[in-house]
Amino acid sequence: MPSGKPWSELVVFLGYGQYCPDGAALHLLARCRFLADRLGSRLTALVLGQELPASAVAAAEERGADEIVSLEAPALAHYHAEAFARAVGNLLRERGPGLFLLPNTLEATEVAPAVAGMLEVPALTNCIDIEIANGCVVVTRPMFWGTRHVRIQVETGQPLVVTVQLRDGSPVQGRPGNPSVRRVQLPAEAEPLLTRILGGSEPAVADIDLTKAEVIVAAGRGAASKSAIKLVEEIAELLGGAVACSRPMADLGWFPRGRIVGTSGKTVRPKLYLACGISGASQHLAGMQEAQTIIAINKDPYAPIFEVAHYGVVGMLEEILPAFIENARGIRAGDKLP
Amino acid sequence: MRIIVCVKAIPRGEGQLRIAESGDRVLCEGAGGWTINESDEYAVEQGVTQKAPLGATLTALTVGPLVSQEALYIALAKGADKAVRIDSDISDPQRLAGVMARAVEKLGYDLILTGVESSDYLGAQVGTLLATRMGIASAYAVTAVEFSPDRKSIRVTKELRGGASQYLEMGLPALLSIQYGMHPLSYVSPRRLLSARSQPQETLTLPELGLDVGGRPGPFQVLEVGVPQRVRRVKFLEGNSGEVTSQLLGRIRDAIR
Repeated sequence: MPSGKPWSELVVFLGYGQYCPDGAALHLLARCRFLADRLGSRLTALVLGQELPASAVAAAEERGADEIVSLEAPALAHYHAEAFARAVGNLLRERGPGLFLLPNTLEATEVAPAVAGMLEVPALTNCIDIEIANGCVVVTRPMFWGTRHVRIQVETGQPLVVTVQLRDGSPVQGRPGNPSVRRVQLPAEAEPLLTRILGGSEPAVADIDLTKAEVIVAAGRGAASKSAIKLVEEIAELLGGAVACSRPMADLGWFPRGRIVGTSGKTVRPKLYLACGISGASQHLAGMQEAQTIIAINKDPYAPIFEVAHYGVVGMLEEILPAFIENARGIRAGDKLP
Repeated sequence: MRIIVCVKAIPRGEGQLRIAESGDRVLCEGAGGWTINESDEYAVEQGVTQKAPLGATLTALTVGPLVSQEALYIALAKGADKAVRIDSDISDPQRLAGVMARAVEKLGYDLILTGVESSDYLGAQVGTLLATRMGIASAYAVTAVEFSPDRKSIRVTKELRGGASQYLEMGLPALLSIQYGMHPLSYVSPRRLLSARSQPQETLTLPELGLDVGGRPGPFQVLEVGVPQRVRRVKFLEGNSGEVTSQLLGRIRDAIR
């Protein structure tokens, strides 16, 4: 398939309100600078909110945005899917065919198809990479529980919405730029919105602060039994670490929600992340892929957790963990090792 | 009150998958290898929980080839009143939403329930696309629903990043994408599944919905499907139990030093 003309611009959603600039968005912005240079497209950073945070401007400058567009209205101070989609959709419509990219947060999972639906353009969601291969733009996305990856070549010049959670941990250093800043005060909605925000609440306060733990031992569906969880807890105690879990383990009632790592819970960067029986849905990997050392134990050698793990053990927890515990007493930092 | 729950049948597990020789498609092998998409199962549970207090009818809707009936059987066994399959192998999210829009218009609805994603395509688009196309209110990753006394509007709790919650109000009709874990999944006994298999299902074709079978492809092309490249080239610790344990100990000691 021949590639078309270049996109006039790549628009990267940098975040909103308290989540601006979003760390994953900055990583994506730096990657898009690299892409835009090769494609001959402009790079625009998009911010939604009541005002434009100075930190967002500085971050966009540092990563080489050509322009910062800030859509401002009281209604955009907090997340409102419908208002966000309308504001973004109207902007993209006005600016002509481009590539609109969002980091793959829970909010983007709602806004991206809403914008795509409004503009009747296609969307490629839940991507984990976007690159240039043989002169073409290629995205990679998981399928089938993350056990298969599909690489898709995208025709440039056609309007497209893409959500991406880049898997490579080290952000590309973008070249600094001198972006123009366009702040747009949006008028009150001409058409009434279909949904009304009544309020919100922060996540339930967790019994421990996972974000401060240097060692995290995490349990996934492969550890969904009393005996396996006891082993996980025992290892956490031996290593002086905290116990975390994947989302399904909280859904199944094994752990409180405050222990979830991933897009539904905490983003953690411990020295050691020991994943026990976690297959590694994208939503989980997004919350732990930046840990310094990731060791995963899983019975399936093709489990997606091994894509981000530094070390892996293929086998049953019930066999591996007891042998480990037997030999691990005294491994805590500073203690004498066996 | 008419509730429609949208479901999809997917392969039972990754062991049944085979990459086609062309390298750009995944095939599912093995008879009886299809089941309901897990996320949709939570949407069915929500529909079943809601229908009695509201005196509602619950219709399970799927778009897919014949094997997609498996998802409908499970919805029926869990308590759906009616099952409808649109016979089509469309997988493009926008076109799928277009087909479903026609179908829900034909069936009539006050509330549409979907899951948050399908475990095969992992796109998480179709619910929101359908609502956008219908011009109705929607919410994604819903964890609680409460009806107003006049049943003309609902209050919804939805999940945001990091486990935060948001409360929304919207008039009906509306579409809700139900988050994992909203209700515990009920067990479906083989007896109930068997009886669901004998219940009638309605099948509609695209021409019957007034739709073209064809359609133009999106501006992209699948290059290849494969097993994931190991992003960091994981080093597997191998050997007998003692060797694995001592390697594990060493790696952990290095990591936390």
